[in-house]
Amino acid sequence: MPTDVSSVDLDLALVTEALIASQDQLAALRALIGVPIDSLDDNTALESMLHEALELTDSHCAVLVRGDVVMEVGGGQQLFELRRLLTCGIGLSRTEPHPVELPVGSAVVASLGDGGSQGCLGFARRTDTRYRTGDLHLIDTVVAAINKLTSLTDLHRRGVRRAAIDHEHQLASTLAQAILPTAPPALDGVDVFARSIPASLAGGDFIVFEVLDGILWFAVGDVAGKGLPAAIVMTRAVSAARVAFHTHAEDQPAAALGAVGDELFDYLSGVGLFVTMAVGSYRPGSGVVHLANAGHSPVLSVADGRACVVPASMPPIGVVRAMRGRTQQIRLGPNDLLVIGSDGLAEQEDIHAVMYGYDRLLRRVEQRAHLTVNEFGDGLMNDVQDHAGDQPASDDRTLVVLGESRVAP
Amino acid sequence: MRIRTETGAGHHSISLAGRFDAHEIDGYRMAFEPLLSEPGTVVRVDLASVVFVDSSALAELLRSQRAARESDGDLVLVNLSDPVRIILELTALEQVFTTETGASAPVGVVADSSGRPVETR
Repeated sequence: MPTDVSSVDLDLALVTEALIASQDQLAALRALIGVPIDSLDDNTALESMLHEALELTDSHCAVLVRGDVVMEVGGGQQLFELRRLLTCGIGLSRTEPHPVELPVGSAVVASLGDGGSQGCLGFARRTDTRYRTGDLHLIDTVVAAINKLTSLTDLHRRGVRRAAIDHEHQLASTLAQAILPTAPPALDGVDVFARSIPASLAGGDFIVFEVLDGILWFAVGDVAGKGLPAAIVMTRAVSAARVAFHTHAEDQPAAALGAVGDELFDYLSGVGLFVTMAVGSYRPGSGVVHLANAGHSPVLSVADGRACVVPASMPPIGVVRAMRGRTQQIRLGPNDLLVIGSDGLAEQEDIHAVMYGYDRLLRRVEQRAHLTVNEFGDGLMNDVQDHAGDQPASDDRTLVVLGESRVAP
Repeated sequence: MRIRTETGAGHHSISLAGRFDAHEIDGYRMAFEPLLSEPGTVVRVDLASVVFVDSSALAELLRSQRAARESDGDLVLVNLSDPVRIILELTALEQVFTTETGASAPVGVVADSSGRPVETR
């Protein structure tokens, strides 16, 4: 049977036209996927996507509604009609892309996000050329791309917010810890070791020193709790201690401690925390440390190579209003030491969850009593760390050691 | 930490076993707070099996005591284990808490910290 050449040519032209259209769609799909999404300005990215989607779906206009935001690309009467449908929620009975009626032309609408939680989208053509199944699949692809963009932008924003909060946390921790002394005071006649290591960025342990008229005032304390909340309370305790040093005589640490308690009671009671604290004063050469202890441990007096616990004479600050303790006089002669730590030393656990313990602490203190203050302090802190091994710090670790200056041999 | 709550006519007690530290505060609070529903309630906290308390746990016990006393009741620490007793003495908090030894559990429903009955006597 002879072949009709003109019919073959027509078929060929139709196939070629369809192939070109298919290639154009493929290019448009690539462009849609390639829309940059590395910016927080998702509206710009969305608008770019809508433009690409117009070409992809052979549409003349598109409208996206998300909350109060209405985004439009293209033009024509259909744009007005489509916007009206989407802003009024008309024709959105189904979430997947589906045709809707327009007075003139044809349109498809779809919901964005789960059950339309992220808005709705519509495309329209000026002509009555209906959107076919293939067009609906393409629009479904556009919907998926927009949903992905929304999710990624949301994740990005949350990540940025989290990073900002982490940064502020870090800054607040740094500010809180900055109130602590960076080095022990230098005062003729007394050697001082002081070190405080928070378990995290910031902690509730604190050390305060002041040299006033040749007298060394000191306070070592621990706020109940951990981390930044304890550190914030700690800064109040440090400030109160400094004021108390300036307003009390050297033999009145108990009164100074009471003043700190009066200053902080309502604040601590309100936040449900307490502070253990040992406050003391030492005049070099006097051979005596005046000390008051409000629930703090360990506080050890080391004399003749033997360590004795200096007991608390009152509960921690913030527990009982207007509580008063008593001032104790601790001997600090040649070769004697006053050791004040925090519970993070004895409570440090090793890999087997065995604590360093107060008994071991006492033994190590007595074993090291002959060393210089710095050798003693370094050695004890290292011993606790050796016990911990790779285990994280159980709590903040603080150690202050006072000793009469020893004449070099 | 294991938490057992026992309730009876006019008697409420919580038995703690294990480490009582900052990580156990929420569980303890869930067990304790419902016991203060009526004014004048005395809650006994049995610490015989507590092997460790930290400052957060002590602060929580103080908070519980304050809450109980504000509703005309009290918190009583019962059967202090050695670790608990030592910490209370070191911190001079033994003079702040009401303590008892040798108190027996009242008859009543025993429930775990999530409220599920464990046994009924």
